[in-house]
Amino acid sequence: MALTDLSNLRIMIVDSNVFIAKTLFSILEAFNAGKIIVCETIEDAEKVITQTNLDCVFIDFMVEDRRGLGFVKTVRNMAEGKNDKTLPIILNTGLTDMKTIFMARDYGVNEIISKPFSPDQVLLKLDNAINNKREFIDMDEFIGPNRRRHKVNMTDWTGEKDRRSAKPE
Amino acid sequence: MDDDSKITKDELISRANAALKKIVPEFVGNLKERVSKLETAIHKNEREEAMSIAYDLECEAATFGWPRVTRICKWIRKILNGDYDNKPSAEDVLKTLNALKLMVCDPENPNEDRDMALFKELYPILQKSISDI
Repeated sequence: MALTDLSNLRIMIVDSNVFIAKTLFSILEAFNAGKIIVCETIEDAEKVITQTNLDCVFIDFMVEDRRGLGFVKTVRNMAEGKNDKTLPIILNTGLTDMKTIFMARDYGVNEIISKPFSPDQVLLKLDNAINNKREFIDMDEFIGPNRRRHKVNMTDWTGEKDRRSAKPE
Repeated sequence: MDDDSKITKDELISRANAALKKIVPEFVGNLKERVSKLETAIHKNEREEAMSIAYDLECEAATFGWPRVTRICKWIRKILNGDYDNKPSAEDVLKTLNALKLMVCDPENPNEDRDMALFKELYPILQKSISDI
């Protein structure tokens, strides 16, 4: 079921572009989000995550000279406190080339929303990040939501010999 | 107060669109000035400044009903970043800037037909340098 009641959600927006932050704030406010915190700097955002329980973060890729993903890394490596490393993060970016998208995925963002955005995209990404969470992976090489979005739908083998379990000759 | 438990997705989006309409004047109010700053930065060869203005405009314009400004600013940002298939001529950059300036010359009274015709004329020029623009 689609996310329609946002009254309990605490959301942080991190964007040094005041106008974009205001736009996103207005959309989330119209969605009746419970609490919306806006930070213009990474430093402020890092303070907020240690002091306030959050349900989701929107962060701009370009904030403070492309430090958005650095913040994602900080969250994914943080010890449990007010929030934990599984905190859903949505990356806002106008750069939608494959390199940026793969990089964001590898830093452990849950969703990417391309700018310019529209209210329906914001709601969709929020719904995905909060209600359709992927398995969270916590390993040395990668911390973040499973990078495979789709489950491979393989039925059980019904033939005589299953090569997948066979030992090499 | 509304009973939010009964609110549908469409109603939420409709509310958000109404909220965005309230910010439109703020965007439109300085659109012409921002395009003018972009032009100045390009002419002064202030690449970083021009890219920053183009990127911000690209990221905002379509949300407020100016999709062609977003497309043109994306093109300018990519050209300035060297992210093109074929380097555009100075004349093509000038034509693009002039089209952008004309589109935002009176932002309180946008001319949809003129802008559509302008963009249609401009598109082959944009595509010549960046095929997937």
